Amino acid sequence: MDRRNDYGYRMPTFQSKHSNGEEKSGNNYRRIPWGRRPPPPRDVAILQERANKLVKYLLVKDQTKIPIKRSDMLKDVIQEYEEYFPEIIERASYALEKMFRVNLKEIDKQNSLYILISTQESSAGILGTTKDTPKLGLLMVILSVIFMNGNKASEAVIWEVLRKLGLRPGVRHSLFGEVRKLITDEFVKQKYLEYKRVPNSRPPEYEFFWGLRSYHETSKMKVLKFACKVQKKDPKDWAAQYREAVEMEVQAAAVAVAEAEARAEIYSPRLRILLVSCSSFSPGALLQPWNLCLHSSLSSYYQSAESGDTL
Amino acid sequence: MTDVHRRFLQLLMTHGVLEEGDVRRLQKHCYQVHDRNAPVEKLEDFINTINSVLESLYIEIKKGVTEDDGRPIYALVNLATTSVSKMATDFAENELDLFRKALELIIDSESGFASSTNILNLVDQLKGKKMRKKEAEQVLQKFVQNKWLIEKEGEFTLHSRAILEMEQYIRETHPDAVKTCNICRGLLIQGQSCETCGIRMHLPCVAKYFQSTAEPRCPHCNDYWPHEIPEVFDPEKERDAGVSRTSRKSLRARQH
Repeated sequence: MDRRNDYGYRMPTFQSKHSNGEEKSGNNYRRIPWGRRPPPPRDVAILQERANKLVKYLLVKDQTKIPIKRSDMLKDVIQEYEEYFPEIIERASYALEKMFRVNLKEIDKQNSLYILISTQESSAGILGTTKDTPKLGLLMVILSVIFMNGNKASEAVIWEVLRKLGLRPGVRHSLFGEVRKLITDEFVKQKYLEYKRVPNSRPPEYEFFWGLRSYHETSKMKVLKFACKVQKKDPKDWAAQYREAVEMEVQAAAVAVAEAEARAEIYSPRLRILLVSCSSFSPGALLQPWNLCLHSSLSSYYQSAESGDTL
Repeated sequence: MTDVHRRFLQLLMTHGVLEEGDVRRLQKHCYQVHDRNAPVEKLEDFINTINSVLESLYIEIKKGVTEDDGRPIYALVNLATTSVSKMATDFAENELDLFRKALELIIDSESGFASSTNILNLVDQLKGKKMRKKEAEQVLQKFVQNKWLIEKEGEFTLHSRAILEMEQYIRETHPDAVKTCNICRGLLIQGQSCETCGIRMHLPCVAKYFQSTAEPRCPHCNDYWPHEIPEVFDPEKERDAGVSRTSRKSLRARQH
């Protein structure tokens, strides 16, 4: 697309790299030398239109749960308005929050990866299960094992637990497919889990950690409560974990307030009050497909597995 | 638009498509969570409130009717034409092409159903990575799970959600092959046809049209209507039966 600015200067297309030496910092206050500034869009309506397209794009892309790359957003939606990406994405975030109560979060600043998180408590299981419920139930079990084990769990320990549920590596399951692939590949790609090699292990051994998405979509407190419900204990019986869970809640709340305030700065004072008051104090809510309630179907799997039935 | 509406919208999005009974239950639940004492708004107005906010995104909550038994359903659809590639991004190119091929067979068929065998025989013609028949069988099941196709006895037809979402696209891309209902003028995949003059009607449209008629006759050529007249869908009967289809499905063990 050949665009010429007022000085008849041929503008680079969105694909070419910026040679002005400025670093792309992704906030609203970058400085671009005047001579290279692209012509401003005739009106804000165009930016809003791109933002609306971006909202739909994000909603569809998020279905896979694989984090969305900034480069994909630029290539597929923003295109020639790359310069205005910060404003467009801010408008899209606002629309997502206003219409769907969903937060667009950058979970990886280095690689510019984004996910969508629901900012309200989920209506767990209100209309029965969806196709994602079994997988997320399984994930909940794994997250609880990892947390209760001190925030990491070896692959061996995980499989010990899964065997009790009747799941084995290499055996295809009717609900989960090949379980090993699910937990070491799919859940990892979706950032629910991390699967890392134990350093200096020969033959190589691996261990599991919580993934970035898990930190955002649930909380240690919720997982602790789940584990305790299954074991019929009180969360406070697990003193160390309980302390940790509370600490995480406080941190999450502080982050939520700070983010709301930062976003409010961009809008009018009226909106600022609105945003801060409705900013989620919910310390980590579950995203919509996570129709898992604490009386989850899976806790009954767990219990029936203990008694020897298999799934 | 309040949090009641937002929660409703999120939940509807989660399920993709819902029957009216479940939609009403959902609406009540959302009021319970956010605004216990408020009167429950009439469903139509409730949905219109949401749709007016969604307008700028060119999406809306649309009401439709299942082709086989006339159940009212609701889904979030694109107002702009949805091509197959926009359906979802968690399908690969060859998977989307498989859907396109299945769609063609379904539209061209007399019954509105395409057999599994016929679809799988087209596996060699797919764009993108080569797909084996075994793989294609699983992809078809993925489509069923995602409510784009329905399977009945080894044959596939479009889920009412797909019809709601893609009606415009289908009409545009298959203008000659597409069938329409003589009564409601909507896109027709499954239905009954007059053996004399060939006009077609949806099963629920047949049910309504011939509801109190002793001698059903074709509205076009006046010949005897040769098929069994289905019953009009009655949500009251459903409620008496105690449980709606959605929860029944989740209680049933996974098929195939």
